[in-house]
Amino acid sequence: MSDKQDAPRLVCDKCGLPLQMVKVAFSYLGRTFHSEVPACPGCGQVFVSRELAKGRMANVETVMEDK
Amino acid sequence: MPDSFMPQMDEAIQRCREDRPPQCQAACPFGLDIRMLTQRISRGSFDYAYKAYRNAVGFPDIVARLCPAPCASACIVDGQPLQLPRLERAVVEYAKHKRPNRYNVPRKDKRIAVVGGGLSGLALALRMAEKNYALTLFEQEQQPGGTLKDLLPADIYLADIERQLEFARPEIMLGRRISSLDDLAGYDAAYIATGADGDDFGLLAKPRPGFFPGGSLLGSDKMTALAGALAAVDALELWLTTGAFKPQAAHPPAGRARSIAPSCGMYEQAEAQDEAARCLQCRCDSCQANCELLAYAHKQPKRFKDEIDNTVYPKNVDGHGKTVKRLMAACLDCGRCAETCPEQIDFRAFIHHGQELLRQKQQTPPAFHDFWLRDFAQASGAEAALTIAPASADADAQPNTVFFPGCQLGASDPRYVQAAYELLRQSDAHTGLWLDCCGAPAYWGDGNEQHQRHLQHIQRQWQELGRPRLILACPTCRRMFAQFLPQIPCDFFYQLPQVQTWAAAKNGAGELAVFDPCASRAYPGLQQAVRQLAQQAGYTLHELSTAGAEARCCGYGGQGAIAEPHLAEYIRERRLALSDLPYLTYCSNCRDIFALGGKQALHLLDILFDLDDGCRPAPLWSERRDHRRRLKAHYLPEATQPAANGVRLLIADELRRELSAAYILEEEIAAVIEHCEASGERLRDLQSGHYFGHLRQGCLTYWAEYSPEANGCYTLHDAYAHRMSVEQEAGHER
Repeated sequence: MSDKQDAPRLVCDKCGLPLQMVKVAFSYLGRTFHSEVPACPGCGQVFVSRELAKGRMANVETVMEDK
Repeated sequence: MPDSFMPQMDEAIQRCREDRPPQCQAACPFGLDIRMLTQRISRGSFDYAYKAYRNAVGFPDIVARLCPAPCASACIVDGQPLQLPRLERAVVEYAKHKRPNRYNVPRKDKRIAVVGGGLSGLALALRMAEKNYALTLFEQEQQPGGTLKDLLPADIYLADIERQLEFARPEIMLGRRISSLDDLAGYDAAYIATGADGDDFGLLAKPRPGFFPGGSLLGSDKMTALAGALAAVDALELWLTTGAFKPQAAHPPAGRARSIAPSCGMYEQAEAQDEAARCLQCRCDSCQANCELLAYAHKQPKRFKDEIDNTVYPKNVDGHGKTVKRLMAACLDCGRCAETCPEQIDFRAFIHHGQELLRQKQQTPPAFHDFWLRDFAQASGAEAALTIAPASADADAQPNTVFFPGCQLGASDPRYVQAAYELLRQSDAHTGLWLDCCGAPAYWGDGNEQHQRHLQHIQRQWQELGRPRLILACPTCRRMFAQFLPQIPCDFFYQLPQVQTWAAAKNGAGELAVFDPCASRAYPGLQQAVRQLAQQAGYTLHELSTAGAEARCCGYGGQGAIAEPHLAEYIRERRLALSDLPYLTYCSNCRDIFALGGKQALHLLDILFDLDDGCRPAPLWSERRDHRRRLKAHYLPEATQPAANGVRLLIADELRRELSAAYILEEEIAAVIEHCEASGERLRDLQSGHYFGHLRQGCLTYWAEYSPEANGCYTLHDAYAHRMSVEQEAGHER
């Protein structure tokens, strides 16, 4: 998972800060993966786009489930 | 082959006929691959057919004329057995290139003697000489062939012998009689084929290492003697290479010869091709033809069994090879595998047991069945479950009855339950009602733990209701009760006399094709009753190829649609292709699946109570949950649970359908928005002004893109979910 998402339009509503690309850990079925996704530099709130969720993320999920 | 986690499966799979030869090949003394032969003939490849034939029989021109063809007796082509002897004659007639193969193999330093130049001795000499052993054949007559001279014109059999020995060139000593085994001193092995009345040199009474009696000497008929010689090659080589002496017993006798229809001459070439094309290419494919899972996955049973074994107990070093968990989770639980397998191999039980072991090891992806288990929890929980106890005035005089419609009937359309219950109450006002689930989703998705707990709950509830007789509307419920709670007496709603009377008063019209749900196979009385009801109600019925004992699953069974969505679609499309007529069924899941595929589909209750014409769309998953709540509220308004949350959503119809297709409930998205609004944890898109937020629920993270509206509602623009969880987000995953 290395999708880089363009999210210049998104701001964290809580902190008022624009999101920045941050390396975030995701886990599934006991394994951890890292990917750069937009996240709030203040509170860490992340954004996973539909494209990422239904694209690369879903592919990795499928591979993990078939292992 | 790995040892199975289920030992009886190891034993059962050995019986699988998948790779056994077809009946014709099994009957052939040579084990000729007749499927391959007929394939080659049917496409006109006579040279290749000849090669296969020669490799099997040794002397094709001779065998084609002499073989009594037990294969033809075994052939099952539509009562008109394939004309295999004629096809064999056609092969030797029309093949253009008949020269044998020339093998370039190293010379062996072993010497072999063959005593007897009949068909059997010649065949062994041919094969051993091809392997480049130093071979000498002793024949007391002045020409080879033995008793062939009594059966065929000399020019035919001598030509075949000459042709086949063209390259092998064993040493043939004619006019040389062997009177004692001492004459064979200096040979490493000897094959004694002196014929039916020949000298066995005492070997039959007392075997002697290195001397192999064979052919008609063992009492075999001519073709079996020849086949035995071809098979004896292995025994000789074993002796020569390892010193292990395993002389052949008489070759298994050929099947009984059957009289062949009188020949009206030789086949024309084209006729031979047509006759060969009639071959059924017999192969046991019963499971492939009957189990949708095996057919869809193109799995041969033995391979699939090994893959399941390896999935449950991985044999590779790191234990992380590709598994078949997804396919195992998609088993339809229809039971056709064991019912239709000629060896009764029960793949369903094997898969179910494997699933259970995987769950114990926590190796099943929870997402495969999480949705269904939560649906089951709703159906059997406070939101939807309900009991109205039967209130018989005289419990001794009249057994209490309770209507148990199952969890999906009311979810599909609450009116199904209301109308059916009303009819039951008209004939017996004391009839109770029990809205709950039979436990099938727990059996399919969670194995023992939840399922056993639910069975105990059902048992307890049934006792509290006064041990009534249950009236069921769902064949799967009936199957589950019969399998796990046989002590609870059950009847089908559709077989009750008052329902028959009710149907007779209807005045419907139309032509329908009856789709029997898979679970109805065990209940032919139900299948018959349903047809009677529909006919009494005025409908003309047509039978599908899957009627009655052939009833198949619509794709819902086992609830594998999330684990393997393409399988569910594959099955639905196959079912929809059965007929252009509207379908009549008596399982609400079948009806809704067909409706989802755009098919006009009626539930029997639609026509009994004039509820629908079969065009009602399949309810969305969110609607199904609402239907259950509404049904409970209908009977118990005071106990009605508030909606799962207070957030009101505005969703375009297309998005609603998309969410349902992705198994995302609107109440789950409402919970995301409620959380975001309450916590302030939301993202704002500066361009569109939309908010984004997410919330982990169960084993999924749900995302919502939404906008607050002035009236307190929220417009949902998009929603999706992923199974991965976010690990590092302000130190915790929400």
